[in-house]
Parts: sequence; C-alpha cells; structure tokens
Amino acid sequence: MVTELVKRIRGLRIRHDTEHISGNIYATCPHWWAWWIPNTLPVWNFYDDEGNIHSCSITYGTEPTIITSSGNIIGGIWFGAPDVYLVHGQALDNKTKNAERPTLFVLYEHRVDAEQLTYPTGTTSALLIIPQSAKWSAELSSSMHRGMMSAIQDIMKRAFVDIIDATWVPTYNSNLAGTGQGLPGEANSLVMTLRWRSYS
Amino acid sequence: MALQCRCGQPVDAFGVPSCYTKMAPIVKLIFTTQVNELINNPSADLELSPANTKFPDIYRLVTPRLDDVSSERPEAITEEIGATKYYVRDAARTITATVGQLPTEWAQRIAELRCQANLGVFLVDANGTIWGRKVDTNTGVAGAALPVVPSSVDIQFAFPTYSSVQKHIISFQMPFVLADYEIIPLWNEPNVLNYSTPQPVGFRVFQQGSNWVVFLFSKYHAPNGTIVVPITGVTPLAAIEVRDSSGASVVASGNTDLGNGRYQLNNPLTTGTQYILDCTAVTTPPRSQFDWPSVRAPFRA
Repeated sequence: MVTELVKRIRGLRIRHDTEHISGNIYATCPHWWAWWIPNTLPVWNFYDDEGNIHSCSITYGTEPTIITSSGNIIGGIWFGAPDVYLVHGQALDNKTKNAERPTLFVLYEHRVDAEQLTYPTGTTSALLIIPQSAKWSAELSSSMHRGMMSAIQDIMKRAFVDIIDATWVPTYNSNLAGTGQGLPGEANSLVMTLRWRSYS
Repeated sequence: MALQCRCGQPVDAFGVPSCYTKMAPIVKLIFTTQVNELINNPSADLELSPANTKFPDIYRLVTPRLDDVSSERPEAITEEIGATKYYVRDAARTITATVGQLPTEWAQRIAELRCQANLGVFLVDANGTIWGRKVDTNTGVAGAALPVVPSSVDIQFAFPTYSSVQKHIISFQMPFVLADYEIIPLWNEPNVLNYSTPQPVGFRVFQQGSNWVVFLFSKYHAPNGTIVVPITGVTPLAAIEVRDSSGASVVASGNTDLGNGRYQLNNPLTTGTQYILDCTAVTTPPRSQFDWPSVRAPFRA
C-alpha cells in the first residue's frame, strides 16, 4: 500500500511557465524548491519543454522566483516532488540527518482500512524535513511555511493524497550533521498525516 | 447502443475474466471533435500530439486535474400499462466535474465546446487509464470517444466563500443511446496525468500608421494587473502568415518584431477583406507553451 503512495509522489512531473527577463534569467512561480533558505546555494536541474536539462540557481522565498539558468530555457520548466524516502519510524532520526534539501520521509508504519465496496485506504505519517541555515524570525518562518504548505498541498493533490493534518515543528536533530545546505542541528519539519487510497 | 430486444434474443454466459481493469476515480477529461473516429491502435491513436492524424485536437483539449468527477444516470424511462411496466429507453447519463483554483477565463474554453457539431470525450482515471467507447465493427471491435451532446455542455464559476475556494463546475450529457456497458478502458498511459496542455493564443490584426501589425497575446491575464500578456519573441517571423480567404496563397507575412507582442507585416492588407491568419509554423515560444498548430483562423481586416 505505502509503496503506491511513494510511487505516486515520485512519479509527479510539474510544469511551470517561465517568463524571459534577459540573457539566461527567467521568472517563474515558486514551488517547494524556493520556500526555504539554504546555507550553501544548491544547483537545481530543471528540464525545459524540449527536454533539455539546465543547471539553475534561484532566489529563495520570493514571488516570483528568479532563475539564472545555464542555458536558454525553452518554454517552461519541469520538476518533480522533493526526494521521497520510505523509512521505518525507528530509523527516522538516522535517515533525516542527510537531508540536504527539503526531503520527504514517509513512515512505513501505516494503517489500512479495507471494506467491501470501498477502495483500501491507507493512513500514515510523513515528515518534510527542511534543513535550516539559521534561526528564522517568526515573520520569515510564517511566510516560508505558507509557501511550502501551498507547494506540498499542490503535490499531494496531484498525487491523489489527502493531508489530514499538518503541523510545523521546529526540530533540533543532534544527528543533522551531514547537511550540505543546512547547518548542523537545525531543521524545520512539516509533520503530516496522509491518507490515500489504492485504486488498483 | 441500448439493447433493443429482438425475437429469439440469446443470453450470453455470465462468466467474467479473472483480471480486468477497474475504474478509478476520473481525474481528467480529454475532449475531441472526432467522435466518429475508431481506435485500433491506442498507443498511436491516443498520442497527445498535434501530429496525431486521427485525433488532431486531443493534445490541446486535456483538462487540468479535476477535483471531483461524478456521473449519474437516472432510472430508465418506462411506461406502465395496466400492471405491467414496459421499458421505453435509457435515461441520458450526466457527467459533472468540479475543478478548483483555475482562472475565470478558463470557462470560455469549455463553453466553446458547446458550439461544436460533434463532440466526444475520453475519461482519464487516477491510474492513468483512458476510458472510451466500445464499438462493434464488421471485422471485430474498436474503440472510440464517448459521445457528448454538445448543447448540454455547461460551466459555472462558483465564487469563493469564507470556507471554500473559487471553482468551476462543468456538466454535460451523453446521448441516451449510449449504454453503460459500452464504456471500456482503451489504454493505460500514466504520463497523461502529468501532461501539460498548451495555452491558447489570441490575436488582432490592425493598421498602425501605414503599416499592418499582428498582435499576438495570451488569452489569460497575469498577476499584478497585467490584463493583456503579449507573446514576445515569436520566431520565425515569416511564420506569421496572412493568407487569402481560401488559404491558398500568402498575402503578407511578418518581417519586423516591433516588441511587446506586435509584429509588422511586409505587405499591406485591404480593409474589409477576409483573410486567414496562419501561425501554425511558429516554433518559438514552443508549441508546448502556446497552441500554435491551431492558430489558423479567419479575420476581416
């Protein structure tokens, strides 16, 4: 059951229009990759409409996002959901320490309801771990949370997954030491209860 | 077609195969005007591309993901004579779909379907299975689009409230002769769920000083109060063609990019004359972003 959930999220491909500004600079609507502030700026690989891959740097927490691309983006950009890992609850602490970008961890421990004449329904918890480069002010946190929540809502909607509830939890993970884009020990977590149905 | 009883009507065996495709909730609709075309090779016939010769319009008539699709068919129409009930005909099936958070202008695209002489629809479920109609042919069985009664197409925009978002509610009917058992899976293509439809292109052709200008724009507004969004950087310029009313010969074509979505033509037009604007050969912005293949439309100068 839960593998179907993960497969659906991993299979998503989302397209955003881009607006050419000048040279290889474009504007687009932000998504999950823009609603956080990394410590070291990552390179994002976006596909364009022709299937060309571009290495891009972007602005964070802005609307629209400004993209500086390695080449000429034709049409729009295509991207997927954040990396998704299916993990056992007891391994969560260890697994999340390497989250260098916003990463979704779905707990394997899930509940299934199966009744006659209904689709089997699964419920589990998932954590979106966002490595954080510094303490955010309450105002900045609020604006980032709003954008990220909207992005995750879009992703889950496309994957036919209901978010039953979601809570922002500032977390300190003593193991969060291997991060390239965040700082040791700092993370922002969106803890969600997800519900999905198996249609097969 | 609804079953019409005939003399000596046999009853087929009730056995069913062990494995068969189950319908998941419908999440997208693909409309087409080619309702009578038969599908024998689904992977090619249902390809979402302007190069699809059988269904050349399906690449641009795929709805965004729909939030809630339901379908109802009232009980069959019957007549009671004395104490006996007689079946008259099936009732027509209605499909109703709700989609949230789309621009208000999108409703015009759906309303335009009402003006078509022929209209069909494919249903896409959450597993990426495309559902259509089973058609008996002289040589076997083929697929086709589900027929839609064009005059029944309706779309309503629902205002947001304090507890709900803005949404569109689409509804249309299928002919009463379409029997439920004719609805079958034609093909499974999960990529359809991620498919992004190109946007329609608006145009105006007008005289500016001594020159004639083609103005190309998106049919959607942009945030920040931009009501008209020009389509800039269209190339090749020569692909912006104005043809005579028969479409046979090119009267004028674009030769100068004036900026802001305006393109100057190389020859003058005659006011009051009927022409055809043909931008089907435009390559930039790409066809995945704007629907150039369908920009071949008549206008009066």
